[in-house]
Amino acid sequence: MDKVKLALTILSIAILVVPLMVMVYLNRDNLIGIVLPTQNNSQMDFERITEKFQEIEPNLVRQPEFFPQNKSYILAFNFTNPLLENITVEAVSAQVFLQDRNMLLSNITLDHPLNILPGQSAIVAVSGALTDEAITYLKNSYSELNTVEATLQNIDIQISGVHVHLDKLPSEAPITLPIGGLA
Amino acid sequence: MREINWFGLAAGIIMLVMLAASFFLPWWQLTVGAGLMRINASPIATTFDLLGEQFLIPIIFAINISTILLFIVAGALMLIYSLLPTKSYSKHLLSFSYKKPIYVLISFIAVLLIMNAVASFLGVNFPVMGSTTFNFPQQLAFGSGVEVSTSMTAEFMLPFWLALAAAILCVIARLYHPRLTSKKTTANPTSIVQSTST
Repeated sequence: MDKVKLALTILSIAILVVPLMVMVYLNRDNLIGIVLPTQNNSQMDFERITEKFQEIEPNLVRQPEFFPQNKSYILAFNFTNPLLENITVEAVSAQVFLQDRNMLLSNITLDHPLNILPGQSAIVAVSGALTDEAITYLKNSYSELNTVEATLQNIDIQISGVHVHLDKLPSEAPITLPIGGLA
Repeated sequence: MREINWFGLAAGIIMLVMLAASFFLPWWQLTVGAGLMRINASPIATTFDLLGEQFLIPIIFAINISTILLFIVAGALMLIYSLLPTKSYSKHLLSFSYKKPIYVLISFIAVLLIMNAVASFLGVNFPVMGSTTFNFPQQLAFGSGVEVSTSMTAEFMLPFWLALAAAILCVIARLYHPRLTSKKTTANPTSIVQSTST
């Protein structure tokens, strides 16, 4: 019965060693490739994948809409999903500041979560009302103007469980806010 | 009546069921966010999902192939042994097969804990079980004024628990084996008398 034991020992060694030897042989021209991630038999392109993630940057699609009756705004952003999986825009919030004076005008938030299919775009609308202080200031200081320049700060976005906080938008370009009909 | 090592039989069946299940579910899964990244870890099939794209590491793939073959052989030999536990070669079959799930299970847990320790040393604290929040370091090229955090959830899945059950049953089968061989000896006392008289 030592033959049985010997055969099983040889079998164990073969099972452990042969697949590794085959893998080393297949990657004999580039041994470091054995320990690097591969996709479809070629090395993974991490740069391409992380670039996709960085493409998830919202863009303002049109001028914000102002509703004088309740002193509120709606800002519409375009989100495009460059990934191969669904993403859910779970929460968006930001503070709108008057550019000239860095005064808080409004807090804006997403009304409800939005699911975006792979490769698709969606319009994400965030809304908020002017603060009482902002209303008073704008009436007193900007009564003759129909628009003011504003910036978005303290932007919080939650997408598919990943929370991103931006102190300000990367583009730093001001947003033109209509205030016509405020007085 | 033929003796059967029922514990070994159960262990062999569970080993093969576990092997089949491992092709569909990992032993351990780490999910980052709501699925933007997943690590599906298993001695049978280890894959990584990143933003919907799946990839693997060749050397781990080779180890996975070895483990698949090991479990196929160990499961089959455990079943053969269990049905014929008193044959002269059966102890060798048992000796080969009962250790394999134990070795693989211990190695898997050890690698997981080592990876967890190394990741913690590098500043990435991922859970082995349960959930936690991970804050990406600022120097990960997100730029100043940008903070990114995400939830990470880890869990052991069904194939892991089946492997654990198989390993426990393998140990019990090994401990039960002497009872089967002693039963065979006491069932045939005349052979002992004949052998001592000659």
